[in-house]
Amino acid sequence: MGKPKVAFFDFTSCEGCQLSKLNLENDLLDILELVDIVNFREAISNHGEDYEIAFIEGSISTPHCVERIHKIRRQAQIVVALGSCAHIGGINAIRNNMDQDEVREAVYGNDKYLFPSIKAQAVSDVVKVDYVIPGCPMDNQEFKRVLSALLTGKIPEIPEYSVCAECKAKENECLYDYGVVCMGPITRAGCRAACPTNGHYCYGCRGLVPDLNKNAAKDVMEKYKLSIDQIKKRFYMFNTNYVNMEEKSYE
Amino acid sequence: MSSKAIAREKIPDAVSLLKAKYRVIAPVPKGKTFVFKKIGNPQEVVLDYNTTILPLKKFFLPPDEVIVKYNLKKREYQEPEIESEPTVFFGIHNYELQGILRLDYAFGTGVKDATYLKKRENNIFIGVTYTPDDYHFAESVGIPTDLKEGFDIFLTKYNGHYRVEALTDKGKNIVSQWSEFLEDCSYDGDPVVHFKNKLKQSVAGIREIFHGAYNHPVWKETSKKCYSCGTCNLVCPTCYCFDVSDEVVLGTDQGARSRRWDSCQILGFTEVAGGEAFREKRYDRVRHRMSRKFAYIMDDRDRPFCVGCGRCIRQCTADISITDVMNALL
Repeated sequence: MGKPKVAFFDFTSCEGCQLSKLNLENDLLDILELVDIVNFREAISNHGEDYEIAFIEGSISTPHCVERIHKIRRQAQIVVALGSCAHIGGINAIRNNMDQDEVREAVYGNDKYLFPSIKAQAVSDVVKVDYVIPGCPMDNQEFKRVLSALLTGKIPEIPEYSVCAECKAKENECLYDYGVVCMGPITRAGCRAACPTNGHYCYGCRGLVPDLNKNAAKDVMEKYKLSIDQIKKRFYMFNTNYVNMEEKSYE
Repeated sequence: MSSKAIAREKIPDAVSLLKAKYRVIAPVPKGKTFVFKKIGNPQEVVLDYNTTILPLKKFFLPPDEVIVKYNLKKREYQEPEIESEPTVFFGIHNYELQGILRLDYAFGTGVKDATYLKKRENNIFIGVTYTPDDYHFAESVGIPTDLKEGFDIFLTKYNGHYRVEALTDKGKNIVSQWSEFLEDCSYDGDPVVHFKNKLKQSVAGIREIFHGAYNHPVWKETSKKCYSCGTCNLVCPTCYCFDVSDEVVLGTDQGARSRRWDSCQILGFTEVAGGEAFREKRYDRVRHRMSRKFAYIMDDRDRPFCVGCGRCIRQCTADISITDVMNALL
């Protein structure tokens, strides 16, 4: 059996998640021993359409995106969402709370009718996604672990516990002890608590934990004197598509 | 022998002397709180502290630990070498050591956990009295502040001094080396201590309380406040559950199996192949944790697996209190 053929595709995103692959200088040659990269717009000029594993960066935010992602899904045996935008819609999804026509006008002015757009969605909202590598930016070490698992026939494991677990493992002081509201308790771990370890609250870039207790989270944030609007913004930063803040239980 | 004491300002000297022969672990400040740490500079050691973020278990059951390494192609495996460096744990509160004794029970009975037990060799414990804060409730779980079980040396604070009691041969040996720092002790009492946080009832018979408590409303009430971050388990001196995972280094045949602290408050904790989870509801998990501490598991002296350190209360961002939950049941 030949080497698996791998492709990288970008959708609505900053393209940093893909680009960071090129920073894996110490591993790139090893990776190329294991896989053939047939499509990677930022790194190679070939555009092969024959691949087994597709890594997708970016959210699905235009009718054209929908068309492309379906085509990729039909070809790929395994689809992996790379980074927050592909995983959960990410920052792009902040605009989902705005009037979509105003958004188009702000960006394209009078030409807005030439650029149809839809709400920014996770790749998994449109096609089946087999695995995800969360985070903004996604973590290259996790990328290597996932790739290793895929190539050895294992299911890649992504933590479902919260960032608190990683903060505790590092014995960080809790930011709440300083009155700082952090998304760590309800955010999926795997970043080794990068932000809280460096003194900043967690933004929630890896998505919310699978069994979110939204009301409990809201109560805690309120106790720490965040207004309803501020709490909403914390959630909307990366997780607009996963919390309906307008629900009755909330207000 | 008349009793001896050491002045507070001589403590760094006593620690320096220990450092010549042992790895010394002691509490040091970290921001607003404290952590147990290998001591470099003896001046760092604090003896007046409420409690540390993590309990001593981190030295015996690290948050993340390789338990076996293997080579897939050669089909070989090897267990990592574990050092049991002679270590003095200095300035330890008695509930802390009681936590270790509970872990000894968990890892030393039935199938023995060699990795844990190896690290428990060559340990010396030097205890110190403490003043309970708003969270400690050790007395309620059978650990009064003058309980000295397990210690080699115990320091009792009075008037800027610590009374030095050597309780084992190892302890006597150390105290004899400290002689130049010691003076005669004028204090022979035990400090009077008040716990602000307490259980309504003593631990005797606490297990029976759980027989009729399966459907008690407190489980659902508590679970409404809980967002299952797992902090209560991770900071608990007697929680020892871990998850095991395998990782093969990309492009090689080298792999490692590791264990990592886990928490019964997290949904995936009971998830099995096929996706079934046995404690899907949050209140099932809240109840499980409490039952695990006070009903399901007792050590060989029938003491609960809670030592009253109060960490789970102190560090819960959602303000859930193990004593409030218990007092609702009692």
